[in-house]
Amino acid sequence: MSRVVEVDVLIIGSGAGGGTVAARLAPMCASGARIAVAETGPWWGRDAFSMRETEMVRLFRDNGAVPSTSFDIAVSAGECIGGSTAVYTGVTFRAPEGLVAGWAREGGLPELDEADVQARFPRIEEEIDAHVPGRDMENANNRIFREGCERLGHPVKQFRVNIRDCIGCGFCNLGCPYGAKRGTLEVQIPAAVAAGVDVIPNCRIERVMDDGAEGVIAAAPPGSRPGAHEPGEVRFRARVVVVAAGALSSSALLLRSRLEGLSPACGRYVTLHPALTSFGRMPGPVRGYEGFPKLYYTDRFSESHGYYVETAFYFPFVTARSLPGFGPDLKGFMRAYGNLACALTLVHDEAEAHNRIRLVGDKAVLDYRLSAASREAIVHAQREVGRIYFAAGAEEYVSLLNSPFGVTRGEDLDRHIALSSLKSGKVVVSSAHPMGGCRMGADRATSVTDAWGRVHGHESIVVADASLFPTSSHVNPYLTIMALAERNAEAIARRI
Amino acid sequence: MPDTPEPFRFFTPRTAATFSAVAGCIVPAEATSPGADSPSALRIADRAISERPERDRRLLRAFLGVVEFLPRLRYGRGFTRLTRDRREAFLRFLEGSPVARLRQGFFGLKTFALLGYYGQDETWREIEYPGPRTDAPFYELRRKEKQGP
Repeated sequence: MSRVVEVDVLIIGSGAGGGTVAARLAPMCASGARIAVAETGPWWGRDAFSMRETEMVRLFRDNGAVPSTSFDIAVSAGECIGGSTAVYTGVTFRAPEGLVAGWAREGGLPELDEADVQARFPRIEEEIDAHVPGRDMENANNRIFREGCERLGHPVKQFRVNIRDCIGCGFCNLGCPYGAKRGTLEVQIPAAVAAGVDVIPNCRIERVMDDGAEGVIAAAPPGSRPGAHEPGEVRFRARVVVVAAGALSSSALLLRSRLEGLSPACGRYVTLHPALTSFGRMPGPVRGYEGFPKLYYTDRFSESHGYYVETAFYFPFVTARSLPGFGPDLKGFMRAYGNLACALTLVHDEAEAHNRIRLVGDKAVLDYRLSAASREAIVHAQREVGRIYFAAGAEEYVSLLNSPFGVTRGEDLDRHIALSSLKSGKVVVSSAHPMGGCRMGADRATSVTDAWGRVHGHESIVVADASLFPTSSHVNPYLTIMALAERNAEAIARRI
Repeated sequence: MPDTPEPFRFFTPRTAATFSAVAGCIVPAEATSPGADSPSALRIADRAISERPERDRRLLRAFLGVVEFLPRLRYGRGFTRLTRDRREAFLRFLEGSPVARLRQGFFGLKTFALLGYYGQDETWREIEYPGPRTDAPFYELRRKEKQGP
């Protein structure tokens, strides 16, 4: 028999959405409110971040790769306290102006106020130390990208990043062992815990209902911090249930819960920000693994071709996985690992109903196909990134679309990088920004929640993560998630 | 007495032989370095596959059977009994196959072979990757360099 845990608010998920809701509601604990955060993944501390790829896959759902049924794309999402903010690089974008207004207009949501959302960004940025870092943070990988763009006349813009006292160990995507990355693991969750919020790691919620949720608490893995609850089945009784499990999981949880009158749009209109990594082999050392990996991006092709290019760097396995072919070519190129400059293309994909989370039995699967526009954007981007690196002095350029293996200086990029190479399964595009599935809107037929994240027909169930997005944010989404989660938390506070 | 190697978690002797033959083509051994078919790389790949969801493990198991069997139709013998050249030719066929499931299966095997090889410390020296570093934080070093001796 399940034990029963009585709370006022149960928050499912501890990432950008759940962590923010927890921190905003936490002051209510002082007046007796009982608030709990249930996180599927473990609670790893800084000392558990070993900076090794083979070990740190445990920070991710399904060890870092949730493939679509088409194998067009594989999604990575954090599954630990902090969610994806524990494994992101800290790239901080405000939602582009007009995005939220468009969501309000298209969704018939006058109460979703663009000015209100935009006004939240500076304050949240201050809370999490998001700022434009100085030029002294620039490592060789970032310098090469900047110089290549400048020589071609492309605008080079700097990210805000939410880091403090970063020493440049470069392991952001494997968990920050120094606590310099100011995600929810380091900022919102500790604040919530200090105020009295009960954080429950290893707690998988199977079903939500209007007055609570059911789940199972697993034993804490060795080396992780246990919560206060013994392993076993658990039934939460809650006045409000906040679903912030991430866009891969939130709509699946609602579908699995078989809520009465749930919108047929639930799980649909998923966008993923398809991404592809490519490499310039430089004549001298780059050592992209030293220093902060991401400082710059160019939006030169955002309007015209639908993508951004950002600096990036990855560790040996992920780098090798991002190369085409196999055998001596691949092994030989990897020998130049220390000389590789690396960039990431992020495509603005459109929200389409057929791209969706659905259930097979009780298991969630992701149906996603790259659109013709996304495919063309990916190919265009791989060619243009090659031009950037050749302008910066690269000797060879390689992307997953290369056939044969690499393009050397002076060869024709357009001939070597062709749409025909972009075959499902041969080129598996990656994603770290799943969005949608519980889109906001006024019409129950085409949307899942209202402007405050309340599931239509189920006012006590509130969504507060990227699954709310009716369309792609076109930029790294976590700050927009935090702003929406904060709004929804305020609505919850008014209610209880 | 020599240590007894830990038993595989996912591989059977038969699937281990097929995977090893594939991995040896993905990252081939050279005079100065091992390949992805080295015992240590196979251990890492085996462990990683064993931690995948059951559906993925089932697919990989079935696909390893397909890889072993399909060459019989063309070459009259299984994958592990082919010459190196024929193994590579067969894998190139899978990689660019018009059948999406074959391409996908190949990508899965390639991924785990690469994880096994590039996930081990021994490989890092070959690619001049220092690995986890706690003693030389980048910006601190740079500040010291600027300050001079």
